[in-house]
Amino acid sequence: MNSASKLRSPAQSGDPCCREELLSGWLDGEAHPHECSAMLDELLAGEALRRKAAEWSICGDALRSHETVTDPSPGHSRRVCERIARALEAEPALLAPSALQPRHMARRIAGGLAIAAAVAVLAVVVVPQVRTNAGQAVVAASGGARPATLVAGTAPGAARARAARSPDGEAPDPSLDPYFLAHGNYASGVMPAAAVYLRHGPDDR
Amino acid sequence: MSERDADWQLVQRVQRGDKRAFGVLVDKYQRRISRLLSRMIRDPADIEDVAQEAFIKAYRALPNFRGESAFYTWLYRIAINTAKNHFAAQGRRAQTVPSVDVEDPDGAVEGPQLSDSATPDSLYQSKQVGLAVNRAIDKLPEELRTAIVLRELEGLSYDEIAAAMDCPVGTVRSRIFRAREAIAQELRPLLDTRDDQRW
Repeated sequence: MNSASKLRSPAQSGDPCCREELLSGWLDGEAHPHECSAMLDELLAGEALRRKAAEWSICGDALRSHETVTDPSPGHSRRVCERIARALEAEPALLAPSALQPRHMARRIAGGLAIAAAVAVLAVVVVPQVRTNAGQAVVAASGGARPATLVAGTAPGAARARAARSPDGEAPDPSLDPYFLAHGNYASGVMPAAAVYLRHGPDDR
Repeated sequence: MSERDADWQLVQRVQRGDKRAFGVLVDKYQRRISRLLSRMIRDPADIEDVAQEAFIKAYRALPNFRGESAFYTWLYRIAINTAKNHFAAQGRRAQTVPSVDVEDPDGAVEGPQLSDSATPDSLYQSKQVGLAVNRAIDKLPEELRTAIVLRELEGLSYDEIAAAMDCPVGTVRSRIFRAREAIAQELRPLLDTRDDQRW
């Protein structure tokens, strides 16, 4: 297509012969991109140009193989074209997704990117917070009749335990420690955020 | 850009609802498809039926065509499958399938000589076309002959032809156009081209 820039545009060529020359180049894929649309419009609108295009296609086929342009039976090509033309009249016009305008495609791409960004925000910000809150709620609920204030670690990976104390400053009941340890071991599999909570006695602080 | 791109532009027009563009593709390829089918099907009436069905199937499937292969390659496969379905519906196999390479559309176009199913009429016509093409080529001035041969037989781009012939690209385009016109004039009396077809 480098050569195409050296070719004249249809607008510059009112001469029918020149337009046919352009058509010849377009059929070979040697027209400039800005000429293609206008050339295609002319081709589809003008019966004479279409006949030329068909003839030249046959010439190319004939050069490559004589038999390609030979009808299997007399009048075959004419009949086939007429039958297809009639059958096409009964067919609805197409409107393929790939024919969408680039502007529509850009909107779709922008919409997809917005959705992807929203999912990323959910994954990075909201989900860890939900997990943390859920862990606190489980451990708080496990305090039973003696609710304890639990201090969460900064992250599940920082499993350094903080002491849990009752609101009235009363010393924690050491007999519950095995329960909390067992619960922590169990819950860490289901809710990893729960693993950071351990109940410690005052001596551990 | 190549001939394939010109077809792709036509396909895109069809996909936007312009049936006339499909008519151009039919004009361009129906002879190749008919020739292909004639290697598989003996009955000329069946060839017409299958050719029509193949093109209509292609039209209906065109919304799914994304240009990953050349349009003719895609159409060729549809035609082969339509012919196979035709035989399956009739409970028999293609008579001359071995002469058709189902994976090589170009080979099918330029492939072996006429099949056994060729009629005396088609043999005679083929001979006449061959003579007319040779006559037309012989009559061409050397620079036109070289340009059209490099384009149609060697598949060179205009840039490559310009380099080979040591002339501007615009001259190449002009020579190819004039050569086509001369060959078409020689072939026109032998071809059943339509004057009043409307798509």
